[in-house]
Amino acid sequence: MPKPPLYETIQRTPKLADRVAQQLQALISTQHLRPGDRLPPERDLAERFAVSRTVVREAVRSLVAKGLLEVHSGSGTFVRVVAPEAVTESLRMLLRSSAGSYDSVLEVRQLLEVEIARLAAERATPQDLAAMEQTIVALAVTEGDPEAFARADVAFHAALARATQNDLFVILHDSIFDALLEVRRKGAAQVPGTVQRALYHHSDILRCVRAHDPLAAQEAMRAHLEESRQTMLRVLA
Amino acid sequence: MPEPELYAAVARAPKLADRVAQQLQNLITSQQLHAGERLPPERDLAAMFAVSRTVVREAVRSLVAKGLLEVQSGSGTFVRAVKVATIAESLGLLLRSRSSGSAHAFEVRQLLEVEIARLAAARALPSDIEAMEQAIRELPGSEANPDRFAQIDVAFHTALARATQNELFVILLNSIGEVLLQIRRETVAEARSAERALFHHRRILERVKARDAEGAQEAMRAHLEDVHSTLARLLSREGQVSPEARG
Repeated sequence: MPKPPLYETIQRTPKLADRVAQQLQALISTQHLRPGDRLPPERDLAERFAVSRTVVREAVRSLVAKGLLEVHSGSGTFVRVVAPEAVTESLRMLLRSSAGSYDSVLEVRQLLEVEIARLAAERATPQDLAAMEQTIVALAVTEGDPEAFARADVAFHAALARATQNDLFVILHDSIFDALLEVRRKGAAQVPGTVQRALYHHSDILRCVRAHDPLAAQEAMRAHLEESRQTMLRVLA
Repeated sequence: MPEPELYAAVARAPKLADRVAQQLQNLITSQQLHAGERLPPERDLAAMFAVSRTVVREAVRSLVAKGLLEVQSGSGTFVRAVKVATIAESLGLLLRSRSSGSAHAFEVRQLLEVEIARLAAARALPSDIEAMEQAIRELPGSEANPDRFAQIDVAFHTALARATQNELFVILLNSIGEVLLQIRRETVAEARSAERALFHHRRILERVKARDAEGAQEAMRAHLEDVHSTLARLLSREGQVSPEARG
């Protein structure tokens, strides 16, 4: 065991507003306050916390900045309701600005997609299967229309992600896939047989998911990703 | 092959406001408009896009809803700066409003961390190893202060993610981090939690240093298993399983 340091950092007492903010945040994380709930008026909060209204206002402002609360002028302060699409959009922007190479994007995509295929095979509902089926039907008629191809391609993978019944996979997958859209579009436009190959692989993955065979679904996904990587290399060459 | 449909849906021209929104979005994602930058006034935008101010207003409103822009009353419309911390807070809120939010976060964390351990063993640089060692040195005795314990714990896992040399892993792990931080604060109350974290972190680091990818994965699995079962025990002892931790 290392010796404890002689001069330990002094624990400062946090500011009043920070403590109020912390308490409010705790109420939100423990779900005593849920998304969409309205906070009691500033005056009441000040009374309950036994602090001034200025302190409450400062605390609320810091939680608004953190994105936990939102002020609707006239009607009060609310616990923010988060739409999954908004998170996806922010994450997408962040990933874009971090400007990872294609290799680093593919590395993460491979990890996510293979696990998604496995979980989808375990958990897909009849509605999920129908949604995937539909994207395959749409994909079949996209020869010569790279834009439509890219849409149907994304839609299949998004439907598969939803079949995990875990929102996080949907969010992460959608944010990552965005970085690959352009290159998929080019693949369909420039590399002959891209549509046919995607059609084959998507059908194969769906077959394994429908059979509730997680291992086979993972294998089918790996084969699809390898093929799509080859197409991409030809586009980028 | 299914037969192509005889009556294919007619592709409609997108609404003007959607096209303006799309153009603005392209400027942002291609980084011609940077985070924190102010948009030209509505009047100027309308003139440049050759559309009405109403159309511009509608486009801006849709991008605000998407979280790409923010209106600061009085001073204008700005491109929103996206920070990992903000995403983490939003994800945290989102998961909390779901019945199996933490189970979902755990599922993704497990996937990311086990792969991170594998890649770190293959790619860690001396500076990454140093960062992990520091996080291990600081851990003992930190459980008196749950926030501090959580911070050091996170620092170790972040250093490990950095060692993959793939920034995306760091971003994704930190994005689901807010929910996980909550879990860490809860588990630190459990007896000898810091001691156990220390044991597992040391083992992971040892395997990473040995360039043993499989061993590092195994050590990470054992660590996560331990955290998970601690949390489960904690919750069952309290006699009230929060709905998010179930399932």
